[in-house]
Amino acid sequence: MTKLLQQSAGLQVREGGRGEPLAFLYKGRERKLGQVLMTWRISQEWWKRPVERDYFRVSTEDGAVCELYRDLLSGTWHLQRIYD
Amino acid sequence: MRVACLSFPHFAVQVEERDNRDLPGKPVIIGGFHYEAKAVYDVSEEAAACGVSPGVPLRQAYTLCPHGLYLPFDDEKYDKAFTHLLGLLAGYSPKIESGAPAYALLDLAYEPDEARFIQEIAERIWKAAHFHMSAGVASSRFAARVASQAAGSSRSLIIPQGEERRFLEGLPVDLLPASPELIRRLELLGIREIGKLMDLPCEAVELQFGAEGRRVWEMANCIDSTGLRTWTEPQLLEEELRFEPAVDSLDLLLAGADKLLDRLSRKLEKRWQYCRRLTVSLRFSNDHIVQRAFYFKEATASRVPMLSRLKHCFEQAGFTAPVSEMRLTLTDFCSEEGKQSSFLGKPSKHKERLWSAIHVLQQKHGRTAVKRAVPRRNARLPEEAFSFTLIDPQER
Repeated sequence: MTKLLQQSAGLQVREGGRGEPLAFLYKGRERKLGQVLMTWRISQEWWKRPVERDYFRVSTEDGAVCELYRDLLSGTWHLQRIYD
Repeated sequence: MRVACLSFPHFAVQVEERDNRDLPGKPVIIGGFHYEAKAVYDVSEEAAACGVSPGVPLRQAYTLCPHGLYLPFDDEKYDKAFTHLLGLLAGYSPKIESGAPAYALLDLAYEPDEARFIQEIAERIWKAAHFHMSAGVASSRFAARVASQAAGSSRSLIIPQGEERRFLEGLPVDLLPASPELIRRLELLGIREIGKLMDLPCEAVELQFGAEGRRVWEMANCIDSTGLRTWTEPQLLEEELRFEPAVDSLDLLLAGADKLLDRLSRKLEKRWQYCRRLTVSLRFSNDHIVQRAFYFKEATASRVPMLSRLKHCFEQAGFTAPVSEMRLTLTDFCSEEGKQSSFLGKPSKHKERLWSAIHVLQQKHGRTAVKRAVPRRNARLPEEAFSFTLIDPQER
């Protein structure tokens, strides 16, 4: 089971030198990331709803796994999914 | 399959007219008194002629029909009357299904003379309960329901086997029990009559509208393979108390409630049962009626949590008149396994419990609060991977 966040609010993310996430602020606490498990990009055709996103499936230092994405059009980070 | 749909138009008004012989022929408006901030629940034909319809605010109804007779909404009374009706109908067919608002479906598979059968039921219901009905007979539930609406008050319409498509094809798609969004999209695509929907391939409709689209396509084409659900008389435990003289003190009211709950919880314990729903009905000395239902996350047989909910409710409510009568009703019974902790205990009862939970949530938060997540094919964005559709109680 995963918790899919339908309308994820903007997320404060500390980035590394290559733009990869190192830590993010969630519910008032900084979660440091352990490992980037997977990355991929989603681009959707402009005639639907223009979307350009870089996805990161990451594990945090306390063992949780979640998916973050950076919206390339706005430059903001979002939390999309949290795995149980 | 042959199905009869018996509809009882303006059922709440019919119940009030049955109980008060002075009402027939007068503009009756049910929902509350004209100065209350509530909506109209049901109206008699005389009130409808003045322009009042269900859903209109009572104050607006009063401007349209100042000479109307405004009556409080007594849901329990209408429920009881309808249950009594279903009990009468159960004597005619082993399979009956109840629907809202106030209609029943009967299995006519073994009935050779449908017209005579309907006539006999109508006469029996009039003699035993004084209710008018309209009836429709067809080979699917949906066609029978539409036929009963088309028949008009105290009349019946029998659609011969195989003629259902011809009967339905010219009718508007908004008769289909589908979400407003689906109906809007059908109309935008120029599909305004049921006949146009019938002619489309099922796969195309399903691809465009998902599972709900397939369901309405099957209804339009009179494909109805699920059969009728067997109605069983709902179980309830009820206790009531009359206050003479009427009481306006919270302590006296709570003492009365405690007494009733004590009796009810003893009955529950004797039956080895727990309940999930408590309904309180208060009648005030000025004839106002207030009803409130409480749902318990975890089924209970103890009077303590019930009394605590009642106490909170009474403390919050601002009573405008002394209370003359209090009635407490327990429903939605289950055994020990109905408790939340064992919700997912036995796979065979998952569906039953899921529907029970859906029912409770819909009662508490409204029909639109619970939705079915339908996976969308080819969705690339995770947040678009599901669409949410309304759950139709008939799917159960």
